[in-house]
Amino acid sequence: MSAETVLSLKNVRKRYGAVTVTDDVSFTVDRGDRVALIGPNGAGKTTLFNLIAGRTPVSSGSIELNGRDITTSREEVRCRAGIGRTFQHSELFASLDATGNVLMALRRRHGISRSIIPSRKREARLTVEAHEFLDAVGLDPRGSSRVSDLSHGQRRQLEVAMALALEPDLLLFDEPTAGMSGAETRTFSELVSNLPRSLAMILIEHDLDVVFALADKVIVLAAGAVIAEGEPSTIRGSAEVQDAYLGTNLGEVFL
Amino acid sequence: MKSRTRIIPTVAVLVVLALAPLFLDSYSLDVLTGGLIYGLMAMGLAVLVGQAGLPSLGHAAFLGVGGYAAGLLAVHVTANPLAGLLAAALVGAVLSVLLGVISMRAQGIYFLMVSLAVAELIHAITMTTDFTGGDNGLSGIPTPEIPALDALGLPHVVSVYWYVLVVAVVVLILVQLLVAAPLGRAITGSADNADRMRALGYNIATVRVSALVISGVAVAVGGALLTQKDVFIAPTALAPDTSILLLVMVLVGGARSLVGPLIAGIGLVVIRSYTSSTIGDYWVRALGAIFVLTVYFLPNGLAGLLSRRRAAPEPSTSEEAVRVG
Ligand SMILES: Nc1ncnc2c1ncn2[C@@H]1O[C@H](COP(=O)(O)OP(=O)(O)OP(=O)(O)O)[C@@H](O)[C@H]1O
Ligand SMILES: [Mg+2]
Repeated sequence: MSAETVLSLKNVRKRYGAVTVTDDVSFTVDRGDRVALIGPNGAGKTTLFNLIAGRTPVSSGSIELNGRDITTSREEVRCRAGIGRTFQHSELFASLDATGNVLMALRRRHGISRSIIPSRKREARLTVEAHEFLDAVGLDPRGSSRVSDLSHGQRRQLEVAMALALEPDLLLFDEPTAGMSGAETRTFSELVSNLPRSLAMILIEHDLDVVFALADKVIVLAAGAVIAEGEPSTIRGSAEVQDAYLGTNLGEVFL
Repeated sequence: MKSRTRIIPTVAVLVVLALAPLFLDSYSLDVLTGGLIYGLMAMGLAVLVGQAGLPSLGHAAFLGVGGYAAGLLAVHVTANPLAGLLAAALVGAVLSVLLGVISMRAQGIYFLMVSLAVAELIHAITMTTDFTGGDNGLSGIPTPEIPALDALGLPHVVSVYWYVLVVAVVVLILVQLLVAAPLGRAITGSADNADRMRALGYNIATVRVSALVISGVAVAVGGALLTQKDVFIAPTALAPDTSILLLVMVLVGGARSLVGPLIAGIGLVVIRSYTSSTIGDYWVRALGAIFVLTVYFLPNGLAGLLSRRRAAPEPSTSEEAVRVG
């Protein structure tokens, strides 16, 4: 096997009291993989992201990133090790404009986040770079509007720009297109399909058109457990998956 | 450009301050010197309260360690005032890191309580230790030697005033630079959305300790200046009312600003000095009233009043953080 493994989950479990929200999940993601994580509301998709990114500790099991055990690493350490994510409920800096939000990611990635010396030149250079990321996601960089002035879709775009600015090895997108307009969703899909194959991506997505257009592997989660895993075409026809959605057509549930 | 429109008023204020000894009698000049020192300390505390979002009720502790460090150094080693400032800065930094480690996980009201407890501990130590002069305070401190100014043959109050003015301006510039630097952006970011900062790879504990160090060093330097001005320091200087006074200065000036608290610090000291003979013990109540009125009429303090006249506020320093869903 030539592909390098970026992420590897082994028997990951998460319990809140008596409730198991992540149930013995194991899978690997290789460099270049574009994985879609789907499942009904409350299936545990966001929880799984939180476990991978280190926002919530696992109850048991192990997680490896680029061959290194990160099961107990803190969130910021995992980010620096190569995980970038977007949040289902936007987490942005409300006191900054769009560029300022991306700059916060860029300063950290360039390793100058603790610099005590202000430099206009450096800041100007980073601002140009920030504008490129905003441009890439379809946000007008010159419209330096506050986060509070951005629409839901624009906030999602900004989340994506911040995750990309981290230049991670593993990108985690949590329902990035929810709230985006049709045009914004198309920009996003195009952006993702043009991402370099040097990085791996997991995408939580309810829009199955987006899933089948972008993903080369689909993982189906229900009640915290992986109930199916495979190529999009296989998943689409899987009776088991259809059953998980109460016998309804997959598309209808999501759309 | 915003930076250019600010230069003229800034220079004007500096010139007026520099020339103040020409118009003021020595009592008024001494009061203004004290005002500058408190303004400097309020500005330092503002970094923690306004930029890092960590209100502290214990910053008198930094005044205390800075003041005693400078005083003890002058008594036992050297009367060079710059050595005193350096010693104060060092001790202030060490105490900041200690407080940071103790309160690593504490925020909001918890941080407030931890800071208060640490300050009371240091207050108690100064009261009961012979080395610091106990209850009576540390006396026998030699007057600071300021060769450059002493050579001019100026009255002592004038040289002390100019010395304090220079230190205050230098600290203000340094703190302004720090706040504009990436570290300063990280500090405001951690107050705005700490969770987001972690997800971008920032270590929030380090960022918060950095903010503590900046504010702790500034207040400790202020404490050293106070000791050098009065050639005396006593435990009362670091009683809880001093911490409250500093916090009120920050809020009256506008916590998000640096110049606002500086002005509020000068103003409140001047008001206190000129009213103490008439209202005496009512000062604390007057302070409370000033505080309540500011919170009610000027939620962003004096700085909010000033920036209302200016164009759009800076993106990263204005308005409170509002979480977006
Ligand atoms: N902190 C918590 N304490 C207890 N239960 C929790 C906690 N966080 C999540 N859960 C539960 O875990 C389950 C999975 O939630 P999660 O948000 O991961 O689902 P999801 O698949 O992302 O859903 P959606 O499609 O609505 O975003 C839910 O039943 C939720 O109530
Ligand atoms: Mg979710």
